[in-house]
Amino acid sequence: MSAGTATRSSTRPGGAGRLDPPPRLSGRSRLDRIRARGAWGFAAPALLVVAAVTIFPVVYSIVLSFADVEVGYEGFTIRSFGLGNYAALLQSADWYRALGFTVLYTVVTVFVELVLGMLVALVLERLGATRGWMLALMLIPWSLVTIVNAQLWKYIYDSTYGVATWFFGLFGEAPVILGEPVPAITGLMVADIWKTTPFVAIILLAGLVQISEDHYEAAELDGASTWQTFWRVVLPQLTPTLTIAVLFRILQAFGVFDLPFVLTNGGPGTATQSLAIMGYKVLFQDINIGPGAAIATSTAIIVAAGCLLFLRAFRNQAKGGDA
Amino acid sequence: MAIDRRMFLLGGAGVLLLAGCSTRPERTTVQEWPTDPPEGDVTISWWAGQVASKDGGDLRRRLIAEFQKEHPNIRVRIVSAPSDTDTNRTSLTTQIAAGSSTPDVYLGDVAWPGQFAKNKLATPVNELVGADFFDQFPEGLRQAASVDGTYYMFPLYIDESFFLYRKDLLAKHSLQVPRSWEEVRETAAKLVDTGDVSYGFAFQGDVYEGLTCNVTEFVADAGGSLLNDDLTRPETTSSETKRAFEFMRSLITDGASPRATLTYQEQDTNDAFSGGRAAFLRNWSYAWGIANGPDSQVAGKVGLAARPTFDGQDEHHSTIGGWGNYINPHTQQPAAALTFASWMSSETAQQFLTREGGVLPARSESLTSQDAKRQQRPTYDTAAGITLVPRPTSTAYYPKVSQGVYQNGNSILGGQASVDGGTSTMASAIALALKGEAL
Amino acid sequence: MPRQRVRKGWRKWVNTVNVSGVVIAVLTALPLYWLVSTSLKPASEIGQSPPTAFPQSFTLDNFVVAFRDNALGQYMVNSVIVSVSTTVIVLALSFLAGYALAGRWIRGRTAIMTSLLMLSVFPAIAVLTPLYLLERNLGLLNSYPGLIVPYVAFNLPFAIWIMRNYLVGIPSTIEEASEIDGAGAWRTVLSVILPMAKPGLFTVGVFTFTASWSEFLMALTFNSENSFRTIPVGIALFGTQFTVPFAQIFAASVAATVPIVILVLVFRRSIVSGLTSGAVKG
Repeated sequence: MSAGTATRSSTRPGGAGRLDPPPRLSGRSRLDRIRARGAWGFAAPALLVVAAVTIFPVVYSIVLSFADVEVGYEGFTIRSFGLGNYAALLQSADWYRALGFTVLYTVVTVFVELVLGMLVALVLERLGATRGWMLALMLIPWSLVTIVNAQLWKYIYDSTYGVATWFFGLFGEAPVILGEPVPAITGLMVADIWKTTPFVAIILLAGLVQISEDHYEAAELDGASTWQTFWRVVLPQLTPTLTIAVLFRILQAFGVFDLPFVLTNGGPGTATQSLAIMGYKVLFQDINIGPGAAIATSTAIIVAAGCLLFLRAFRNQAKGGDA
Repeated sequence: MAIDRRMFLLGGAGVLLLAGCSTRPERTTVQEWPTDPPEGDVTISWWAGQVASKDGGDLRRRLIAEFQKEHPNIRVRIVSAPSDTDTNRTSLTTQIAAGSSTPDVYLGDVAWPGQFAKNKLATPVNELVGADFFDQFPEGLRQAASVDGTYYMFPLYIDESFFLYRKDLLAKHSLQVPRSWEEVRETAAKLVDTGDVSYGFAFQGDVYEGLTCNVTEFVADAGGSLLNDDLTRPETTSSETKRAFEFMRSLITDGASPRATLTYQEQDTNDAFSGGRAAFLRNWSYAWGIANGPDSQVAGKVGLAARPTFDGQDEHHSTIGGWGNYINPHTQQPAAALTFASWMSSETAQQFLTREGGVLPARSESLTSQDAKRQQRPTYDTAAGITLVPRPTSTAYYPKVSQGVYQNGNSILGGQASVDGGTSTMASAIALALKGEAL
Repeated sequence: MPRQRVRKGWRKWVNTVNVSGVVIAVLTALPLYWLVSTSLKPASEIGQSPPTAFPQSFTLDNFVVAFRDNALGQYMVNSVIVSVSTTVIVLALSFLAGYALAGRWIRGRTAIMTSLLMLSVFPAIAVLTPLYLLERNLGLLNSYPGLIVPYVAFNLPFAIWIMRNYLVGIPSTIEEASEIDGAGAWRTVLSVILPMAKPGLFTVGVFTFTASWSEFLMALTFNSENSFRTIPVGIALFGTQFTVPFAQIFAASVAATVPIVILVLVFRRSIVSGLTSGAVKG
């Protein structure tokens, strides 16, 4: 629910040291400015830390992506600037394949996790005494070290002694799960979904409980069915929470690295080579700094564009009605 | 509000400045490095993964102890490296490319000199020990350790691949040890038919460097090669190379090797053989110890030979694996680093390795010395008769070349690409890689 | 206050809920069971085909090897120090920042939120080398702050978004009421706002802790010295060039996960009430 009145904030810059502006209807009074200063004081430590640590590497990386970099005794030497790295990307069939796989992976896993997470959150909300145990159980996959999770699933999918292989073998010829493109991609997604659905479920659960009783009662009084209540009452209330969950899941899924790295090393062929894996290979295996930075920067741009579009589509809800 | 914003901007600018000022220590060029061991007490750090001892343990500390008998004033500190070769290299290159002065010496794969030389991540040592220092190593190893005649690596131990077979099954069915690949295919088919094994021949076909090793060997068996001698052009579309790929593919389509070979790395093939499911195995020298070890179900029933070759050829090939010591070009202790690294390749160290190690010593004479004979290990005895064929590691773009080989190789094995199509794509990938334009 | 009692028309949900709960629990637990049972099997049984559901021979060897030969204890200590510090700092900073950005005092708050998001989209691999350079110049390599500071910085954007989302719903009437009472800003924040932000705090706490616990690339690169290595890096040291000792790796991860599991089980009521508290009547 939005806080206070719905007036737009003034766009005129104010600030200490200038003449007091004439009083306006939505005025920035002296009290407002004091509050603003206080608010900045609260926000500054966090923002400073983020800026200090991330801005330099990000800028550095972006700069390198436009450069022809040579590694030498004195470090990185930039031989020239230009769009050569990006041109190479656009001409690389591997890059398009990696992009395609990463987009597919992101869309499918985020969608499935959203649906499953919603179901799990609904179930968790309605559980009574066992809720604590269920929550504890759900937290365990999430708390596994990602590399270990990948090793676990590698062991499960192993073509010789993996449980999954044995299980499918009961129905016919056992597939080599990690050796064929489609099973490998599916296996990857299952491993990710198993680990990450708790993440989505917990975020949604915390959002679910914020919905007050009154809404449910009103819906019941109106004779709404379960499905209608869910669709018309719960979901709209949940949209800000959903937005955050989806946004950050998209971010994480687009950068998927640990699972394909351990499970398939981008194989079979290049079927599971995500953008992050390709970037890792170019940057650290081939020690090709310029193109590696270009892969990273282009990935960031694509995700950023996606997120911005998403935010724009849900603008009002995302800001919590703070339009 | 303004105050906080200013603090904010200042803080950010300050960090940027700090980061920009590179506090790289003064670097002396190799020509100025001392070649004599240092006086006084010195400590250096050695980045190394495990070095197998003959009983399955680790030899690093004992090697250092031996070293200190000769040079008591040099202390060596071990920094354990990640066991996965690639992760190892990633961590190392990040540190050294950023100018870190530690580790002083690092144990690196025999496939790294080409790339490391180009990116100035290792020190050229010709001026420090002289090129003839390396005459004690086999020809293939010398090629691998150097780039255009300049040496970057002090070989510590090499590895060769062997052909292991179930001698009990061969005896049981009165079959001969196969000496050619065609015989392998026949014998494997017969053994599978008897039901004593699930499949015939286990080798590594996953999307990784190990497949490049196998491909190099099969291609050499067929009389071809992946690149020309100068490493300037791919030769994967030659008829010899295609023959090798045809054969590898037929192993899977005929059932001599399981389809799971597409995901097999060394450990999986060992499990298949030591678990009694496969009759033949191609793997590195350590596989001998595992096959006869306590966890193996075929202990004592195993024979070892050089890898077979194709009908009509007479050389038995193995690619060159192994590890050696490189010197960090930014080290602050060049004299100590050089002493340690070169000591590891000296006769004393190599003989110690022969006696106590579970690996093959790099020094040619050590491999055929009395110490080696006394160990009575078939790997030592057989190694002498094997022709070593190096992977094309001397090119600066080797990782990319290898990637072109193993990605397309895996596609050919799995049937996603035909032999003609796959080798042709491989040639394009390699050509692009050699130009430095591959992504 | 359990809702089931109030909604009579939802009774049919209860059965579905319980059944679903069981299904979810089983699906979640199966791979975990596999993790634990594999860690108790000896190496020879790991490579058996078909795989055995129950360990045929129980052994604790894997755990022994993990702790004794591979210094897992030291790695766990390092991981705990780094993760707990990161979580505490992130909680504090994100709460304050989330609160500040939830209100309408800061102009350009949308821009700030968007920038935070944009900074998060950068893949970790790209920032690795420049961060390494930065830390080397500042002498932060092979230290606890060397990991804590980047972890805090990379977890803050998400944390701030979450916190802000919960705090946005707090009507200003509560704040004004508190101020009229003469309470200072700090009092308001700590005694009134903080309890309302519990779901956010718990969510952020859980996620930040697990993210720091699992982080691999930065820990590998910055803290290469044995005494400062964390668990994920320690696990990467297991085995040799050609072996991946699944049993030992799983034993190590079971050992690394057990403390978290115990904590979560012991505090499950608080976690639940924390996550589900603070419904804002609107």
